[in-house]
Amino acid sequence: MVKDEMHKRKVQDIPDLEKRDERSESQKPPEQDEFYASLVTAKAMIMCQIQESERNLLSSLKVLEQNNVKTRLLVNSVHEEKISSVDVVKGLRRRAALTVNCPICTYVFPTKMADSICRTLRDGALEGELAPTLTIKDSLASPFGFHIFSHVLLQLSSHVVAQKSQSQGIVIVALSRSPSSYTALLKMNGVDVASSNKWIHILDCYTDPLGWKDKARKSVNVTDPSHQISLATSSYKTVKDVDKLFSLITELGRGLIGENKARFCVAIDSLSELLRHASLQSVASLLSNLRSHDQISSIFGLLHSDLHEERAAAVLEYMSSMVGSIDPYHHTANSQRGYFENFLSEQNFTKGKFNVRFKRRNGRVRATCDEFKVEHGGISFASVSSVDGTAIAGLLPKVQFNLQLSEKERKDRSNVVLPFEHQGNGKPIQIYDGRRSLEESNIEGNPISSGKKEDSAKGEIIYFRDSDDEMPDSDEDPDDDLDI
Amino acid sequence: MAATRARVSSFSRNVSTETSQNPGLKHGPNGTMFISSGIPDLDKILGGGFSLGSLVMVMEDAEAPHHMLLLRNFMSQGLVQKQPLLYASASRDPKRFLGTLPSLASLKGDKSSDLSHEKDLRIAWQYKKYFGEPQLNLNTNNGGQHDYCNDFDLRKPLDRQFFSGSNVDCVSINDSPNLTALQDRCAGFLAKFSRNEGCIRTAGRIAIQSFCSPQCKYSNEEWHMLSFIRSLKGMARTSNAVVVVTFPPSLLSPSCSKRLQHMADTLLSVKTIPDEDKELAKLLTGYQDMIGLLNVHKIARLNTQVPVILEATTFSLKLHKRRFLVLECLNQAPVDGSSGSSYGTSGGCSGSTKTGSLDF
Repeated sequence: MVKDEMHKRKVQDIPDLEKRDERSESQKPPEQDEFYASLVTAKAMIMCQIQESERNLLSSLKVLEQNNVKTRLLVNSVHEEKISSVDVVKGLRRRAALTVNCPICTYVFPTKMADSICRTLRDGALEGELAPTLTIKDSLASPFGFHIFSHVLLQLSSHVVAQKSQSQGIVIVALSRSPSSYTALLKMNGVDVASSNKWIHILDCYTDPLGWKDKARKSVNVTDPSHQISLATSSYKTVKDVDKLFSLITELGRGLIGENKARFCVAIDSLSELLRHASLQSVASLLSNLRSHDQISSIFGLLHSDLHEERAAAVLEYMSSMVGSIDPYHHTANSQRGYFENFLSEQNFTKGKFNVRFKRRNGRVRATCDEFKVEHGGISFASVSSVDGTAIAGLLPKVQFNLQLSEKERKDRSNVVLPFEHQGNGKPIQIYDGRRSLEESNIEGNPISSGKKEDSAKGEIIYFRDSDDEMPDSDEDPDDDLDI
Repeated sequence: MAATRARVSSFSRNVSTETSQNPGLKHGPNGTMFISSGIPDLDKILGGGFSLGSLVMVMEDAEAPHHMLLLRNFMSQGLVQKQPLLYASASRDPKRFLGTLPSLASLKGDKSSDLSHEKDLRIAWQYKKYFGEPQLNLNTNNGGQHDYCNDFDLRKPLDRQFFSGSNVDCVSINDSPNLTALQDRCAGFLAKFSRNEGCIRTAGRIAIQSFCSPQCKYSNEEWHMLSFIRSLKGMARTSNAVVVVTFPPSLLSPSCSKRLQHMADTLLSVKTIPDEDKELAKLLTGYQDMIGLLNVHKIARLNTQVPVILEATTFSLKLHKRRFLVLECLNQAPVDGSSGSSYGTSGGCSGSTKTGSLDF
């Protein structure tokens, strides 16, 4: 009986929540048909997946709040520019504060970091400047390099399609993934593949990088399974010849955008793969040639840093203008057990930290840190402010004094009247000759006496001489001649 | 700012009239001659400039392009004073870099700030009232070319007339498989300034940018690079020229990098600073204008065994009004006393106070 009642209540409970949802739905404006809220059990946490503009998001949240429903939001947006408006951020943060009791209440949405990298790549190079280059470094502890690479690629593609970027085309040098996987990636994220021939071209160095299949075909009649690749692809069979690779990339790019002043981007799927086939010096010269080419707007590539010696990573960092390194989410200080702990920490399987160092034009380095989470549909970022004060102290020597004046101090200093400064300004010049003239003492005496007649009786200093041999103190005050 | 006083000895050398004819040269202690580095503050720090015959190495920071600022000022100074220049870099077209050299600063803006500084010095003197206004000594610049060291405006490019002549030679080390070609060019250049002749007609400058950059074909051959620098140093020693080489130490093996540092006569390094860093902004005054830090590790002392010990070795690179490169001693907010030894104590026994050196 009790169980039945409870069961009924539970059944009733859920309809209640559903009713609430219906109520909230009915209050929503009709264009939110795609708004989808799924309810998660007794704690009444609602996971909303919102793929809409931000105004809908805020109004939906308001409605949910009114119904006393604690929300957990997961925002996955393709319209990066819209979500990045400041008002939305404020609105979301305000609402997040309300649900502070809920332990898993976080809002995750594309933030400044990923924006600023993509914005830099989108804006491209100025005249006479080297093209901005991004190197994404990952390692075994946090192997999400390709996710971030594809995120950047998709962002850039959307900019190119929307014609908001300096570059009008993208050349992908595919070394570690097949062209068909890129086709699938673009399709999955809503990019129109059919018309993409005009702005994207894949240089296929994956299928047959060393030309073995060609050789095999010559000796034995092997039929190549023809696969339909929707994206324009050229296959490249001599990856070791880096100079030829450079000329091919530039040719393809020029083919995409024409001979005019337009520019194109280059995405190198895996610099690690390239380093396998060619020497570090040739890869460095390829990068420097690409950077100084007039028609290249920006370059980005992926590197697995633990596959190479440190010098390779150092060289590529030297040549790039932005370096993003992917670190594990929980970094244990204990190095011995740390490796396994990192492995086993569950959050490291889906989350990580993305630390970017931007080399700005004025010579300073901007370091940002963001958390990201890899989900089914893609990747989402959250900004984290991390303050690292320890590194700075090492730059500076230990100097104790501040020898400069601030503006206020400068003003105060100029207002100080020095002893003889006011003389010669029209008043009669007076030379001190050891005696105070009557005039002066009168002038000085009057203001004092007027104010202090009552006090004169109170304070007195009586001095008894130690011995009669002492010379009486001269009445001259050596400071008397300081005429202030 | 630290400055070493020129040592005054009882031996005085008959100073020839060279320097009046050639404003780009200046006499230094121990029979050396100086040429300017292009940055007035750096000249003061180094005690006069770069010694003729010395090798100056600048350690680059992989994250900042400040070594280019030093090189640009160095090259501009040479071109303005008609000193021949040899420039080598790893780009395919080094001539394009000449277009980024700064031009002479216009004279109007500068001097007013100097005058206001003079007015700031107020002396409270009893008898001042008997004299009229003191004559302010206006330092008029008769066209900047006759100065030893000029201010350069980093926003204006240098007039083409300065580098279109045969004064400038550019070499690209991008495509050459080894360093012999560069070595020959340098040898040919330095032969023109050999010291065997009696008087110095003019001084030469060599600037090599990013010597070990990774796209060069010889970048793996560390011993070849070391022997090249060593032979360059030897050639420079017997000529009236200054060689400035910048290299990125992070791209070399530690031993090679250390060896290059030891080979230098004057060793400088540039460092980057983090952007929008609140901690640093609190710690340093003038953080907004700073673009980087400069460290002076070693200063060339030719013909003497006495080293130069500076009171401060870390300076901040600032762009005054975004045009002029200015080096300043770091001024920190007062630190709680016990955070390490202050520089004041370590500089107490500096060598610059000694006067017992032998001058020949």
